[in-house]
Amino acid sequence: MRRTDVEFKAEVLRRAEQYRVERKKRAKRMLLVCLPLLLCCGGVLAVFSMGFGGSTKGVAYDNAMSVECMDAPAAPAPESVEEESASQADRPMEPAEGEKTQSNENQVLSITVTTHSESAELGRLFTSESEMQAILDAINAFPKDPETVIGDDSIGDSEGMAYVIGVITETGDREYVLFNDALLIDGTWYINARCYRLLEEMILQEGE
Amino acid sequence: MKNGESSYRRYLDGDQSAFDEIMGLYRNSLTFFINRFVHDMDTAEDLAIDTFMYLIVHRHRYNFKTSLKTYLFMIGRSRALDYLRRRGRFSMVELSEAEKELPAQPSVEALILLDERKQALNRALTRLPRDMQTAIHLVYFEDLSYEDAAKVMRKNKKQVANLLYRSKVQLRSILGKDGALV
Repeated sequence: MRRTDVEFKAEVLRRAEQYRVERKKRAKRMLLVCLPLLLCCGGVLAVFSMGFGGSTKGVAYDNAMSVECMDAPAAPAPESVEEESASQADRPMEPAEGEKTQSNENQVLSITVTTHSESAELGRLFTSESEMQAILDAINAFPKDPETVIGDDSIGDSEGMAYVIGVITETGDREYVLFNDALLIDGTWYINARCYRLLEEMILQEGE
Repeated sequence: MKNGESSYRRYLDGDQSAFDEIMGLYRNSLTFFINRFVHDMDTAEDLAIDTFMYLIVHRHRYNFKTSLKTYLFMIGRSRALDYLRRRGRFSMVELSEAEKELPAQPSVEALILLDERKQALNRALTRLPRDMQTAIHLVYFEDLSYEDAAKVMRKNKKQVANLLYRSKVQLRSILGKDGALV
């Protein structure tokens, strides 16, 4: 049945009002559905960005720490430090056969420990804290004359950066440690703090 | 002189009575145009209401570059096609029931098709394909230009001209057979 003009207009206005109300409801519903989703996504993004940020900070911290540690024992000549970093960059990452290698996550530095002697078992080198102390003492007391370095079995390294260092343990046995990051500056041996830490961890693990 | 655009402008400026003018101007022709698609006057009126509602709720979508009539017919056509798509070509009302209802007012067709020749033309038009019907309707019943008709039909001017030419050829043949044009 045909509507009169008044009815027609009233119906138009009624539907327009209904449409507006429904649009508001729809917007609210969308907000209720989308807001938690957006919050979740935002949370995930925040966690990711914090994770990446942390990682970046970690690298910066590690680098800073390693530089600091290299500088700490004495004031090495700047050119020597440059040499050290250059040779670190040149150093091959693959360990030689029969070596136990422990690398940090970002591959900036690594430490390789070996018994050198073919007959000795891997991991037997450090078995107690006292042994570790002995090694550290031995390193500290390492002869200043580079020629007394035993073995000189550098593994593809240049400029004498990786040396097999002979260590006299408490029992009087001579063991061999290869430090990739050992650095001889003005007759003093320096070992990166990271190497110490890794060594320490390794020794403690062995001790357990 | 009243025209749809100025009335709509006044409506947007807050003059509520301007919308009555717009409805007065276009209600019947729009309903009749929509009926060309849906073949049901109540549905056509319903869709015309939706079309006018669109003008109210989406106030700033009309850019005044085309005539308001063209704009309304564009919306009306979309509404009609949407309705047909939804309905899936199934009739919702029993024909026998629909026939029982007597119009309380003179029908829109009766209002628009006062001319006998137009009535004959309208009868013949129903036998044409929908696009042809729409083109003929817009140009010869609503006096829209080819350009405006093309906008309503979402075609270009040339396509509308071709459609009209072919429609006229077919219509001539239909009307000739019926004897209306003889």
